[in-house]
Parts: sequence; structure tokens; C-alpha cells
Amino acid sequence: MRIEGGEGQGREAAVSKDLRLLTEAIAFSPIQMAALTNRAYALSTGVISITGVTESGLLYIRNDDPSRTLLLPELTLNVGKCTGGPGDQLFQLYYLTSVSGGTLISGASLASLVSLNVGSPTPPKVTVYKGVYAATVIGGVVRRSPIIQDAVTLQIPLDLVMPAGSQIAVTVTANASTSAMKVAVAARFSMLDAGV
Amino acid sequence: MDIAIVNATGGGKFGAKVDEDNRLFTLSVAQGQTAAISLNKQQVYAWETGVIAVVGGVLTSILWLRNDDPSGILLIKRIGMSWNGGNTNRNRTVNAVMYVGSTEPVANHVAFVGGNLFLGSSNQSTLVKAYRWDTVGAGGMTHVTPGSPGARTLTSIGLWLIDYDGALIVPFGQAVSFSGMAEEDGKISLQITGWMQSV
Repeated sequence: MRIEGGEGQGREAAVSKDLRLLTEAIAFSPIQMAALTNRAYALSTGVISITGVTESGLLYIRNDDPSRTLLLPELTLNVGKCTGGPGDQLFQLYYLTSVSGGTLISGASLASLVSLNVGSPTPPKVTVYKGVYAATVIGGVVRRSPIIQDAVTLQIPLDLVMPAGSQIAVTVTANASTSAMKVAVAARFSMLDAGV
Repeated sequence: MDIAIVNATGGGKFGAKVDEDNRLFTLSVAQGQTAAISLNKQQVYAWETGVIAVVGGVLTSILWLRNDDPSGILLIKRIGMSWNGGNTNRNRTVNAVMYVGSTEPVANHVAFVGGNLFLGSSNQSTLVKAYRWDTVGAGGMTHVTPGSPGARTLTSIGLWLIDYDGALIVPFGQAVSFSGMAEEDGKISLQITGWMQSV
């Protein structure tokens, strides 16, 4: 069975010379379709005060759902004005291969997590923790090292696919002599049936 | 048996419409190529230098990639470069250059494998040969032939993203490298995201 072009024969769908079926498509984005099916979420650490130059764990995400894969297209980094030191900060994204410890995880301070389909009663099986200044991340491999100026909001594309059990952590290290800076990390993500 | 899809507007409750230009009306979820390839094939990778210190006024080769897959092409999705603006002034620039056709480095280099964006996947980007500067010396990796400048950007403090969306293609046997010349001593990190596609 094959689809044959019908151009020139009335209202039959055409197939072009390069063998493409011509369509007039309404395209939904994956995040919108996920929201329509109660599988899209927003998370945020809220504002975290950085008061020195020690590396600080800001955000921890772990997919706990054995039947769904977490898609994390990007992170939004919000950085306030930096006082006392130069205005560039090093953010680092860690891929964690095991729960190795550190106070970011043991502190277990929940980050905010809401459904993008407002009022949806079904929370995702995902763990999200927020950190504090000098919260530690132990273990893992650094995979991204963006350097961000201060007083800026920036979306960083990640295109991460996180199957069940996978986890990441985000840290920030303020530059030398920094005495005060506020940061917040936010993201949107969706949950897709594993294997799809 | 050939099937022709015929407009059914008015001819049935669930018939598909075909308009006067012979286009079938559809409703679709458009997933980006990066996410689709990562989900379905687990073959989207990121190659990163990590944070490295560079010396001002010295052209420094920091990352080199070559496609060694005779049956595939490397499609570059995105180049991301961070620069701290210089250790002293924080408002200086770096002149970043992508070279095409640079030869494999012969000194001051270290081999590495790109990370898979499908976390936990056992797939590795071993068919893309990758080196980054080992931070020995002050001039980056040594290439016998540096290649031809393919793109340049003058970058100030912060993270800069250049999205090629897969339109930058590295065929089998071809190599690209990335260098920067900073106005003063500073810190750089560079990341390349891409995937392999069969030819």
C-alpha cells in the first residue's frame, strides 16, 4: 500500500516531485501538548542569597518515575547585581551518576513545583530541591560551565533527556571578593512515557 | 495497491480535509530534531572544554573535533561560549574563531569523549575524535595546519549561543577547531552540541 499524489484530480492530497505529502499543519509544541495532558511542570528555587565565593548548590532534580522520561529543554538563570567583587559568576551543571551526598540533597529543601495546567491535581514523580549559600554537591561530573555576567536573566538550552533515576545538580560560584548576590534558577519540563 | 487521500469535507464526520492546493489538513506535535534524536537514538552529544584560563593577546586553540564515521555526518546544533570579560577589567572582549580543516593537534592536547544528553545512555561519541587543550603552555593546542577561518565572533562578558540548528555539517574525515584571542588574561568555556546522522 502506498499513498499516491492526486494533484490535478480535484481535492486529492498531492505528493510533490520530491515525494513529500503536502499538508497544511497546525503544529503544537511538545511542552504545550504535555501541558494539555497534565504532564508539563514549572519549577523554581526562589531567590537564594549568595554571600561569598564558595561554590553553592542551587538546584537538584531527580526523575523518580520508572514509567516516564523527564525532558528538560532549558534552565533559566536569574542573577542579581553583584556587590563587592567582579560581576561574573560561574554556573556549573553536574550530571550525577549516584546519590553521592552533599548538603544540597541532605538538606531536602523543596523547590517550588507546579503544573503548567493550572490546578492539575497530579504531581510528577520528581524530586526537586533548592539550595542555600555553600550547599555542597558531592560526586558527579561537570558537563556545562557557563560563565554569566551579573544583573541578567538568561535561558540556557540543555536539551537533556532524563530517564528514571537520573539526576542533575546546578551550582554557582561567585567571583573573588563577592559579598552579596541574589540568584534564582527556574525551568519548565515535561514527562513523556518511557520508550516513546 | 495505491491509495489517494481525497478531501472529505462535508462528506463525513471524520473525513480529512484536502484544500484547493491539494494539501491535506493535519494536526501535529512538532518535536525538535535534537529532542527526537536524543529520545529515539540516544545520539546527541555535547563536547565541552570546561573552564580554562587563557593568556591575553595569544591566539589559543582550545577544542578540535573530527568526524571519523564513514557512514555518518556530524550535525552541529549549537555553539556556546562563555567569557569572563578578562580577569582585570571584566569588560574586555575575546575574538573567537572557528577553523575548518585544521589538522589533528600534535602537542598540548588531551583526548576526551563527548557527553550523551540522554543521561545514563551507554552510547558514546567515539566516532567523533575530540581533543581539548591540556592547559600546558600559553598558546593552546599545536596544529601543523591551523585551517581556514570559517566564522568569527567578537564576544564580551557572559554566555553567547550560536544556534546552527544542524545546518553546520561536518562530513566524514572533516575537522573543525575553535580558538580564541582575548584582549587580556581571562577564563573561557566552550561547548559544542550536535548529533550523528547516517548518510
